[in-house]
Amino acid sequence: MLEVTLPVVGQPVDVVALVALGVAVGFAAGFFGIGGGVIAVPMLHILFRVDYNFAVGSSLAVIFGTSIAATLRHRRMQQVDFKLGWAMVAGALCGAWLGTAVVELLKRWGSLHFAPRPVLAVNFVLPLVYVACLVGVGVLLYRESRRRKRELRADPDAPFVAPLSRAVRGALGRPRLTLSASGIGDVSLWTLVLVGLVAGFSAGLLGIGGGIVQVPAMIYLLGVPTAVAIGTSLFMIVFASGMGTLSHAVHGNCDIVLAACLLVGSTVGAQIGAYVTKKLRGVQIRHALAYLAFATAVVVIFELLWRLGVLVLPTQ
Amino acid sequence: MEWFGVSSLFRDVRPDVDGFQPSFLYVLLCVLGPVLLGVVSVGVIAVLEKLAGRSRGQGGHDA
Repeated sequence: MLEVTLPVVGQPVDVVALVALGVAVGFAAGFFGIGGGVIAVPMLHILFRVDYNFAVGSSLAVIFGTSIAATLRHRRMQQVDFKLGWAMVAGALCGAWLGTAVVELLKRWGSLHFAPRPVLAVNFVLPLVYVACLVGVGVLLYRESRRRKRELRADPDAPFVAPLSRAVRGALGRPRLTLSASGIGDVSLWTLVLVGLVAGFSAGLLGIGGGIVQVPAMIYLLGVPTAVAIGTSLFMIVFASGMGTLSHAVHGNCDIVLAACLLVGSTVGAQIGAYVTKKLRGVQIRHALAYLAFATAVVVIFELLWRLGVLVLPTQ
Repeated sequence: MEWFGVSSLFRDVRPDVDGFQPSFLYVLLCVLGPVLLGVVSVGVIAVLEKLAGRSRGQGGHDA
């Protein structure tokens, strides 16, 4: 056991355990194309007793570094479509701003008092919306990947046709782009910006990184290959997490020693996760992504129950 | 703890205000540190792969 006292949080932690958590967070990021905050934040709070503001601020710094490492790794494997990423980032940044503005409006609803602990109405309603989205995305991924597995058993070379991609790609007008890295011959720039806007809006509204929305959106709406969708999603997460890190660091919520311990593990985990995507078929990754969506929904429900005071953690 | 002489980075610059108030250098470290670690880790693994004689391979478009 190697203990170190965190300078900002002000409490001792086991460095080896932090590095191990970092490996898990990094693997999830590299493999699923998500930030990994959904794993890091609750684990830091539950296992290491780190306050939520420091857990969120420090994990954003971890996500920032991990997404850079994972993007570079996916780039080496030619699994990042930068043209698609830049177009979607433009929409996602506007969408995130809109989503955050809507949250501020919803805060005027006031508080609810039906549970042991009062909670802002917005903090009760939005997690429920998030859970509904996650279950919807999970069911879509689960059903499609099972159907696709059956297709591949019958014919291993059967082409994958994303359900809505033909209609979405054909929508809207000029300028039109060719995305060679994604294998997309002709798509409107505005379609990409719009898909980014929807992903960014949900991220801003629900307070998430957006990977769990971006990856399925790229696969099913645009017909991007699964591995490229993961690499491109990570590229987009670099910008979102970079902005978040700066904002939290300015407000004193980021403990750089805590982040550095996690980063040592997560940057290695991200390389392993990205490498594994190359070894699996897209359908297998989508199937695993469905389980991640369901698991995330369970974490969000537990967090909501904790916030309402219905669930009391043993560490409190 | 002295943190090898960099403990001044972690000093609260406004102790009269609630919560930790970081210095500009600390904020800079929070932003640049992850970038550095991310890039360095990729470089280290690339070197290790080269030493082990592994190729980087091509991206797949499988479904």
